[in-house]
Amino acid sequence: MDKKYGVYICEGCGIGEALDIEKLCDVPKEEGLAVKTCPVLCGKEGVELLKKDIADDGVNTLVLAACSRRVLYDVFRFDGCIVERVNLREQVVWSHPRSKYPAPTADQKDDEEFIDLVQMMAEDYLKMGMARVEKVDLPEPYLLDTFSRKILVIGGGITGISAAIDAAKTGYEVTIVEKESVLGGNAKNWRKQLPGAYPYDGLIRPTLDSKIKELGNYSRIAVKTETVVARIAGAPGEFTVTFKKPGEKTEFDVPYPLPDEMKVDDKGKELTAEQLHEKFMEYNEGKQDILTLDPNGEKFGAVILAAGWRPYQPEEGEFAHLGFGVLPDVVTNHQFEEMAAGGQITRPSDGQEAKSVVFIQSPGQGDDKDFPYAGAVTSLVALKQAKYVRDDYADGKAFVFYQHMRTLGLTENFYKSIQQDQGIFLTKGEVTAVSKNGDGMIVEADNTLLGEKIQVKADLVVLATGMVPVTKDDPVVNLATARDRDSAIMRFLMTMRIPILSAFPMKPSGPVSMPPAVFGAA
Amino acid sequence: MTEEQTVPASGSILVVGGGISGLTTALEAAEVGYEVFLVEKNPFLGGRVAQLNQYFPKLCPPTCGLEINFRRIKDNPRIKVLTLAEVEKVDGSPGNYDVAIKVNPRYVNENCTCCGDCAAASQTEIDSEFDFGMKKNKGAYLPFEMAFPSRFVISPEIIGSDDARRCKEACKYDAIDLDMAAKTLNLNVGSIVWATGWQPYDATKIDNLGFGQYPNIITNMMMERLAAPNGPTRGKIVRPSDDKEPESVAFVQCAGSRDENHLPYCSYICCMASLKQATYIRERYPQAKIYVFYIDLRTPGYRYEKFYEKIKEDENIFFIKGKVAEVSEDPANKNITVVAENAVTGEKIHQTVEMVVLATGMQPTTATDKLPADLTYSEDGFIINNFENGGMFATGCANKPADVVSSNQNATGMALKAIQTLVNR
Repeated sequence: MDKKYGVYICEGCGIGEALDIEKLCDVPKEEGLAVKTCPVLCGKEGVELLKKDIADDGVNTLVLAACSRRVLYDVFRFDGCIVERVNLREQVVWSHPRSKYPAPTADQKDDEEFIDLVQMMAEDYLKMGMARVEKVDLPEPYLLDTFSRKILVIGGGITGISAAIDAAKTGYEVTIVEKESVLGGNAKNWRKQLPGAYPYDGLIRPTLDSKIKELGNYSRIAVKTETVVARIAGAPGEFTVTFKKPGEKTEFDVPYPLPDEMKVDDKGKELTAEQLHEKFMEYNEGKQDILTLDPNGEKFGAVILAAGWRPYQPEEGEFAHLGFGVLPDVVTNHQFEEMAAGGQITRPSDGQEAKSVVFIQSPGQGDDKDFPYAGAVTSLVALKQAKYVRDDYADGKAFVFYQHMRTLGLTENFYKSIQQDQGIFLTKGEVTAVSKNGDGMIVEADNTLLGEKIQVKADLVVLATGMVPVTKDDPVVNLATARDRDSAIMRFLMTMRIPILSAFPMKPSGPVSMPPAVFGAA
Repeated sequence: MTEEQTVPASGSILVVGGGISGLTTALEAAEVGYEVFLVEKNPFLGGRVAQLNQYFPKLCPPTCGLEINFRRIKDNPRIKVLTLAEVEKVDGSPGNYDVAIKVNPRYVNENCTCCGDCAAASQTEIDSEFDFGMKKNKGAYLPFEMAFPSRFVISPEIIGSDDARRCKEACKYDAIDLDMAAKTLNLNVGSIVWATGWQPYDATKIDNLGFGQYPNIITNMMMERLAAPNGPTRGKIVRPSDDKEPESVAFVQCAGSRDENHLPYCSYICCMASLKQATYIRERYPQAKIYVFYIDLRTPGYRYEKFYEKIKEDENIFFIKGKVAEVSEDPANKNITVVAENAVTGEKIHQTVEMVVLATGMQPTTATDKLPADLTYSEDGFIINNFENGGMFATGCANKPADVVSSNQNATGMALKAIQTLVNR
């Protein structure tokens, strides 16, 4: 656009009293710019003046030397014009009051050597504002050639299904991709589900089946099982997505960065840029470069990552002090849940009824930490599973040893209902050892609420191991960007362990729990 | 530009409450293309978050996160903000509600430049609710420095007095209109999201913890105001009795929460709030001793757990698993002795400190003020959502105790639910 400048200086709110406005007007004048002053620029008269100059004189680039851009933003909005606010009020006059920085005396005014710092600051800010409007242009929205409103949901577990249903209910076309042959994810293996709504006081039947059934009501939802994402190219609003079977190799697999050991030569010396590039090309041979769009790819406007979690896999010997990996009847909460979903709770070692079950929340060893990746959920899971023991055996006993019972907010109601169960014993305490005792086991604990050192006979011991995001092992989204493990986005994904990605243009939004995110269509 | 499939954005959504949840719902819905009315009973937006010194997850000052949201509002003509406004009546059904909204007078019009001359002229001093009475407002005041909308407000208490006249005369911009009266707006909206938020539980009700009786026992929200740079002490943490910089501070967790006599539920945020406030004290007083009395420390999730791990490394912060049973004051030096029973050893612990912070919990505002709409409440006053009916939804702490992160997630989801009501009308 052809800029026609106008500089306007407000004298209200103390600006006129503190500054030499006439001298200030010299700044734009020296640059040959028109300048006007106004007693109150934001007042009716001031705004009329601005509007008139825009309409009659074609002024389209305005420098308003008045107050902060934070205030009166609506008064000084002139569509189609570049408006620069020079903050004389808050940044100059109010923060440098004449009581502290006295105005120049008559003698000082005549003295050419004298510098009035407040005046100088105002003049500098005005110069900066004028320089800025010279450089800027009105932003123009980036318009896509095609704008897809289809949503891709990666992961067909309970989160992905819920996201798809809610998006479909809102009128969007959705595709779910699931790497397994059936939908459901981890929730397939649950006997019961934690309460998710008021009164939060008891277990509920798993909601997965009804959710999957509901999914069938929406013709807008397509489901691709045994499918993963090879590549997501393009940009929000126009992603091109290549699907493939799990494990399959395709030319549209995303090029992978070189592993560290390939970045050096035989002698451990770093390779040159050319050598690195050559190696990279070799390493990714057969793959299309990131700028090549898959002609058979599907278009999506937004992607929801609902890849979910996998159970934490203890390393060899990691919880040996608790008998894990040593005694067959020490299991993780995930193994326990699978067993409970499949039938009665028994001892893996001999298939006998497990009527006394100890749930351990913290690996102990002097620390009050829960198991890794405990999140906010393992306390609740232990309470849920303790209930299973009671459901299966009228004379069953469940012991929960915890450092901190983490039943936040209204889930406290569920904790309280569990406390009413005579067969469930809940105590703070550190489990120090789990050892074999005949057919069963002995669990020893310290510093409990029931006594300083106690021993409990157990048929089964359950460790409250955590949930590891699937994105820890595999990026899943496979964005066709310069994919480097050291790049900002990868670092973000790896360190924050945040499932990413959503959004149409200009609209980033965070990870969400149910009900899922809403997408801004620009 | 071609569009493969378009969901037409039409219809209006009413969001009640301009705290972090309401702001989020309003913005998310408006940015999808819907017209949104955001109604807030205070003269400013930001709710409880605005009162904090820093907030999770990133320990930003609220001016950061809130300013981003305000900026989004400024740029979005689809959002109409009504401050000093309350819903009076709701009629109708999902997709078609007639709502009456009472807008109370601010007595300051759009001519206000925020110059502050009216406040300088006012001679009245009124306890600032925003600062829990630790600071006085003038009869004409800006709720806080970064208040949005940035416009002064005249306290109704001075209307009709000479002080009001003084304020009016001091205004050079003809911005004060003492004849402004309450008015009622009638709106038709398709769905309503209630984000009416929470209030700190009244600590004077907890007889055994001495609040209101001993000056050096404060609440966690008061601590936020003390630590805030725009608070009554400009960010200095000093004890109320003598402005002394405390050398020892005790945090009493579950003050009112998880207690059948008060709030039977867990208030979700108080553990993290106390850990955060321990960092406020530590930043200012490297040697101060900090004692945290707790039942369980609830630091859910990866990041909160990491925060707790970091606090544990501080050797002058002591965690004591025990519920505080009583407090007493030494009348000579106004120090407080906290008595708790160690839950593990059973021994009674007496700890004398210079200041006590009660980690008081959150109560939904709807526990004390029911809304003029057909809503269902839990015994504790939270609004229970009925997704089968649709149309009206509660979000944030109106629905359950939650931190900012969960509230924002939930508020985004409720924007979607509100949109669904419009789409499927």
